[in-house]
Amino acid sequence: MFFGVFDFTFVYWIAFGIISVPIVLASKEWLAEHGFQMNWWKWILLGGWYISTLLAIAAAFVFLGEGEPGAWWKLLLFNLAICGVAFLIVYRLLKLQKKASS
Amino acid sequence: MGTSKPKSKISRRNFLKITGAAGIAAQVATAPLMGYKEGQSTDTYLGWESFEGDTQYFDRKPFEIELDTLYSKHTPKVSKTFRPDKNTDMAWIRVSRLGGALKKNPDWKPKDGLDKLNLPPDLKEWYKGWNKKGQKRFDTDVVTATVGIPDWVVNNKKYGAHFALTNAYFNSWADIWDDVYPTEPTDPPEISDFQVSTHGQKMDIRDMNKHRSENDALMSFKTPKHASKLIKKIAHQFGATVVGITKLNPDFVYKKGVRGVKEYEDFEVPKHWTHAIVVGVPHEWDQLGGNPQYGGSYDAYARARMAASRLNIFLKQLGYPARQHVPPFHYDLVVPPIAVEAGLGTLGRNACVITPEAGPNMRMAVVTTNLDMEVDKPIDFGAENFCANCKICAEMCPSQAISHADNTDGMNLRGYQHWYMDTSKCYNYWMEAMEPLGCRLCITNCVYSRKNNWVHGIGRVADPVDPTGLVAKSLLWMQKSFFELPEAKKFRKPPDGCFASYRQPPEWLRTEAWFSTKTINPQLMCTKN
Repeated sequence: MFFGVFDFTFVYWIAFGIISVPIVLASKEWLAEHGFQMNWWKWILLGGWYISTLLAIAAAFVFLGEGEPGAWWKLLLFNLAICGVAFLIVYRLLKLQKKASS
Repeated sequence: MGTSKPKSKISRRNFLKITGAAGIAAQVATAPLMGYKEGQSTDTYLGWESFEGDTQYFDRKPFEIELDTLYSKHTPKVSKTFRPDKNTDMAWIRVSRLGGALKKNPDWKPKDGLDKLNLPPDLKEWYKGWNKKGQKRFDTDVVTATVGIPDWVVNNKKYGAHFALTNAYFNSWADIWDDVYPTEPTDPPEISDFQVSTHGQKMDIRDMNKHRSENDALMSFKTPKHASKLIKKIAHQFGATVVGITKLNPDFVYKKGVRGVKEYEDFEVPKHWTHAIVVGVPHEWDQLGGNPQYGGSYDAYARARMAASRLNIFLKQLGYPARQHVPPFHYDLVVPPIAVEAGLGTLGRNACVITPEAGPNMRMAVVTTNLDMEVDKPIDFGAENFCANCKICAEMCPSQAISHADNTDGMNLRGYQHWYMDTSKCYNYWMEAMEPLGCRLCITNCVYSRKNNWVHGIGRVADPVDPTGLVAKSLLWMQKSFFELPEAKKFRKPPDGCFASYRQPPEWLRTEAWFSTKTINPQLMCTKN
């Protein structure tokens, strides 16, 4: 429940969806500019990593909301480290495909 | 003369990229906010918001096992089974009887030993049985009666005011079992289970059937499946968070001390106790973290009690005999094994039923009846293996009442092999904690006792279907590495401990947040040390 009696959660998710459109378009531009040749599985990989990172950040803050002050920041660091490693793997996969196609 | 439009400094491509970057920043920045809100959301307080049955959301079907498998593999029968005895098995009744014997034998000293104390024969035999098993329950009960209870009175005088608010809150829930609702059966089941009051008029349900139908017919369900479906629906309407149905196993019915029957008379299980309906309700989630000092059992007790009692009357109104077995001590049977048979969960290391929805945070009650219903099957959803490895409840138990063993080998409770705790040690700590009776720390710190949000939902869904055990190992590692797990001794009374709480209790249970009365906060001793 956000802001008193009104549940703004649904507004948040609508805004999230709207914001996602320019993010996808901008990503397309940026990736093309940097020579990434995207295909369907690369988009799924990248999208999956992005959504997982958002969830990983949110998950740590769930514990803060639950009153686990000792756990949330440890989980946040842990999750970010995992996401960082995952990013490197994803990045390498995207790059590898480019080399192969060239 | 026309003027040409100034060319934008930002190209379409750059504008798009800036908008995209701003979008990512917005999403990343709001993710913590959404997470925090989810953690705080009362929508995740399972069991306190819905009476429509959605609270029992876990799909048990894929994890069902047969009763034979339960009693051959999970809870094997290892010797001749025998029925429990309320007068020895219930710690508070037992210690009260021991206290009576100690008063009558003022010259007896602990060094004189069990044999020299003039105890009722059944109690003496019971203590000897546990001595043989290596649990010195007699010694512990003597300490509880002679040191624990007097100390509790002294500590209450010293620190009681600091916990006055939480005591007031939980004692307010407790008033319904001071013979207010439901009234206790005063006759044997063959009489009282057939009596119902409608608008103050007491009548026999067999006469009610005569009034209702020309051919004196009982309200018969179309099929047992119809009966169980309706009973479950109604139980949820009455406030039950989870409901399960099983045939009543006589092994779990008390052999003595049954309500409405002479106290020490042997009790034959009535013919009309064929089925058992088990209902469960969790504790309120914020107070749970305040255990053992600020939490309490009575909220969930009262709600489970109300749900079962209403269901009892509902059955009688339909013409079926029924008896409610409700917290805190108004039972004629032992609830956990019946709940396991009814598929509500599995027996955990802490001797509580671990439900998939809320772990051991589920207080249960039973209604016995002869209504023929479709029964549920026991389940195996992985908690048993998790308990074998976890041991958090055992490590944190202030009285060390919970076993640290790797498995249940060698354990035998009334013929069945499963986890059980040393109820004497457990009750000994009850006589230390500052709230109205109990501890519940092993309910609070159990990894399955988590609110119903998506983070815990991932664990709940992933662990039972993971054949490798990797999810369980990861969750346990995170639990032990990331979460604060206070030392067991800190929960004890001063000077050994400081009446610590597992977590900071909610503000609405903290006396100092609302009252100007000066109190002594023993928990500050831990901060100073």
